[in-house]
Amino acid sequence: MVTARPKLRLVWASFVAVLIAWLAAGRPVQILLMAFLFAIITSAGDTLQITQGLPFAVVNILMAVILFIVLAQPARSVGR
Amino acid sequence: MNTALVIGVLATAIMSGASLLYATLGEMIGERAGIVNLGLEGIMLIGASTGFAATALTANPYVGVVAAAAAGAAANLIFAYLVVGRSANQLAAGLSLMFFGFGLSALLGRPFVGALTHSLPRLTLSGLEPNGIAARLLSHDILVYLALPVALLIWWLLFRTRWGLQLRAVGEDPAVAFAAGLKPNVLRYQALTIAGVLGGIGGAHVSVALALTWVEGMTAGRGFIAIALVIFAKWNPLWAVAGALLFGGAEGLQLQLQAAGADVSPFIMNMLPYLLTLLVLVLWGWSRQLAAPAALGRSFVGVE
Repeated sequence: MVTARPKLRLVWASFVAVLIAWLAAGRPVQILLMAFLFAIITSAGDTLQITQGLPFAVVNILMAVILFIVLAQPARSVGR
Repeated sequence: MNTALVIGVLATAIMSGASLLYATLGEMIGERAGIVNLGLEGIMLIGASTGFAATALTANPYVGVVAAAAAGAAANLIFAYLVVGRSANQLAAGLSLMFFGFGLSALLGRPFVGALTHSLPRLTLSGLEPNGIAARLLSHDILVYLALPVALLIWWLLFRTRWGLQLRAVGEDPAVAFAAGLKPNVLRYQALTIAGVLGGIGGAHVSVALALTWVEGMTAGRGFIAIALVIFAKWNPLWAVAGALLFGGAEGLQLQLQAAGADVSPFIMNMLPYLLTLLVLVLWGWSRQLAAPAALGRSFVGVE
């Protein structure tokens, strides 16, 4: 889904938005922070594509691993 | 409507319905144990790329399907660890798994972009005349023939065995099941492993039997359609067969009308399966809500 094709990137962004809202945990200011964080990761994907010759979608692994670590935190009272 | 069109739609319905059915059955087992897995799309993609890669390397499509099943199970166990072992939020964990699947499948499939492989061989009954109506409808690969028995097997497992009863009990109320001496977490791990195997096989069918190529994001939302199909089928494997055929048929109709040069916008045709899902959910939404496992989406943190 995450390719250089702009239409698919739009779909992808909507899924990321769900996760940003969840991570922000009902605190609107945190949305700014989280959105910025995900923007950094997304732009890392472009860099990987240009410098390493990897597909852009590989950035999803990076993002997912970060999310897995957040999700594995015990006693996270958010979004239960 | 000429016969060629109808037969084309039916043949596509059976072919692409099979991969939907495997994924739907996998998701259904998970949901019967009380776990929503939104990462099914990612599992299918991992299955598709692993299956394609293994087929390209070994020149044996059956090895590809087995590899896809194993990869699907392994990826689903990450999700299982998060939602069962760490009682994480299921929706967030599922979306994370979906992203993981997109990324991993792109990385695994990259050396095989544009590669040509062996497809799953089509098995035809010997008595049929080639290119006849019966031959077009009844020559499919082994996974298509196995789809219906697998649906029956899972119905039998869920509703006619002790294990299935325990699994459904966990899906209705894990605390009560725990009090009755069951092990909710073990049962949920088992259910999610089977879900991963079936999701991986569904993905492999898309790349090794349907498309015969690897493209990033090639399952194109089938995982999400399968999740909708579980609701459509009221968490019953036998209804899932009908649902998968219907949705496969919608896809087939879209392809056939485009091929026949009908004056319909392809964008409107692309909407068909999703529109159908929405319509069904609106019309029979309430009775479906009652059919859902009661503990669906809730994590079980143990009884203090």
